[in-house]
Amino acid sequence: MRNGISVAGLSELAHEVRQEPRQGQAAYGVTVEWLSGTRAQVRTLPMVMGDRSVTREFQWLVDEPRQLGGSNHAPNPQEYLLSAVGSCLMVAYLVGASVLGIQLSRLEIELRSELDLGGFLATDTQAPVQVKGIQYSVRVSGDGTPAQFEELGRAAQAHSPNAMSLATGVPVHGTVVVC
Amino acid sequence: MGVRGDSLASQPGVGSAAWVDGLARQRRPGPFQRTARSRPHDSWRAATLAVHAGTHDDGATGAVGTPIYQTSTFLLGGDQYAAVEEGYARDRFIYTRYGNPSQWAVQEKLAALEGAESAIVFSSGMAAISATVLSMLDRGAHVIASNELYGGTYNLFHHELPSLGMCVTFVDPRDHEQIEQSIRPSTMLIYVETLTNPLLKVVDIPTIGDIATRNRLRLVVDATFTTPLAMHVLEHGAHVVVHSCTKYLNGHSDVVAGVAMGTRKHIDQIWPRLLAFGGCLDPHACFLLERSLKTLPLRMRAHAEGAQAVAEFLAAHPKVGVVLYPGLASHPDHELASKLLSTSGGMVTFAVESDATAAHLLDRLMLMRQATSLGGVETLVSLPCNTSHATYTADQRSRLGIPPGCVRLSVGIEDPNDLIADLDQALAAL
Repeated sequence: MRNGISVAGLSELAHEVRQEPRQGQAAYGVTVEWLSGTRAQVRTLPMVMGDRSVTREFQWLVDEPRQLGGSNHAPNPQEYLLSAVGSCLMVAYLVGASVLGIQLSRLEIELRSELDLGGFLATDTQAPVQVKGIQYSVRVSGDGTPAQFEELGRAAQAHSPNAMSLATGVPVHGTVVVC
Repeated sequence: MGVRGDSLASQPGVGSAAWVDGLARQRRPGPFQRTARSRPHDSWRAATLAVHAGTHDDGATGAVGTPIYQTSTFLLGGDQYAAVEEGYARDRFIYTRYGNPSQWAVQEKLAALEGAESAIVFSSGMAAISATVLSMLDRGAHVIASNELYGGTYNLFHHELPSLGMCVTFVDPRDHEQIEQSIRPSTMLIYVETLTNPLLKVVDIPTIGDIATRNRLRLVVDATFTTPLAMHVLEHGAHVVVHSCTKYLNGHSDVVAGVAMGTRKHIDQIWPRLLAFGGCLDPHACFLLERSLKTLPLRMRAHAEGAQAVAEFLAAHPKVGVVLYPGLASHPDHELASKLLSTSGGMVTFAVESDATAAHLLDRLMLMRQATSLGGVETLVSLPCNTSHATYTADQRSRLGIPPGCVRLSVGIEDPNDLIADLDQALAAL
């Protein structure tokens, strides 16, 4: 299959979701458990995809570099944030290229961001807590035209749930359970 | 030359759409050959479907009936290459492990009989079961399965799934509360059989289908003992139904085969596992199975008539203890069977004094064949204590409800009077 993805399957899924929107409803979750210091263990929860429950048996570590009080044993939350955006963009780019019939030979997305710790530490009331935006560049080659690759970049961001969640600023709500 | 495959299978439209929403391909029942001769009419009943659905005549010679396409491979062209590249290879003839007209013919007949959108035949019932189950599970998945499963399925669940990082809880398939209580966050699948072996308990598929739906679980049902003629389990919440075609569907004890059936969506998920695990059905075996299916309704009627007569004879015999047959009013599940099953089938279980007595009985039978398997035209007789449940102790069998002296009969299509005479002389000699 071109790019290792079934366009027939994508097409069938799109028609199914159009006819039965419930099948397009996905629900995810992870738990982040404190281990020690800044180190945490993340575990995926079962997800719901349409009318079925799907087991997700994955786990990974999060840590901070020593300079931020950690042991530098794993990527830090900001790096996971960038990877979550980049990998989501990559899926969208790959899907778009496959729909156009473009065979990719290389696809790599580099993402960068900056953070002013003055916001987190509250040492500077003018400093934002959030990251100062995200910049990314897509390095791509294949049998598409430069114009197609350019347009795919726009389409990928416009259809990427993670990129659009950040770009549009989805609400974040939390509760605390004392146990 | 037209399309070498399913002519109605639409292409997704790669290159003509800007995004996914502009793609054209939708799922449709199949893949089928769509010849005017082979497509079942909506009004056809089971006996007509059994003869005509899927079967097509040879266009080149006019020979009546599906030819045997004894080939491993097919001519390739642009259409086939596009099908592979764009992900609809199941709709084209490319290689016999992927699909073959002999497979498609019998698959269409089976799907028509089962009321399913799609079917895949396999080289055994276990090939169908393993590909189906593994298409529905991910690493870490939990399965809830009947504690009275066919031994091959039990071995898959008990010995193989844990090696793949999956686990199984075995439950009484009649205890719906126990099924609900066994559901975990990681549960993905419920797996049951329509009738248990050898006690022939009737499993309430509609209730289990409801449990599966409410909990977003998949339900796979093995309906080998009941066949598509007794009940369409897909109408009662099952996502996929599997059969060992070796049994009633082929019915002549001369083919080993299996089938998985359901919506196109679910069967398309099984197809890559057929490719990966390799259990495709040989075209010649497809021919034998397709030919046998034409008489399935006739045979099932004869099986059921014979089983009813034999069960009634045994129930009245002084040397016979319990007799289990869903068609007998004395069967604990007779009422449920009457509600769910349009035929009681050909399996009869009964008990004589002891396992030793049962062994003597089998040695004295002249007509009935002492062999494992079931569903053939010839009556087969076996003892759970030395076949399906040989690895259990007598105490364990007793706890499962299998009485000492338990005998399992697969009643064939012989004259019931001859079967009764055979049993009568063998019982008299005890």
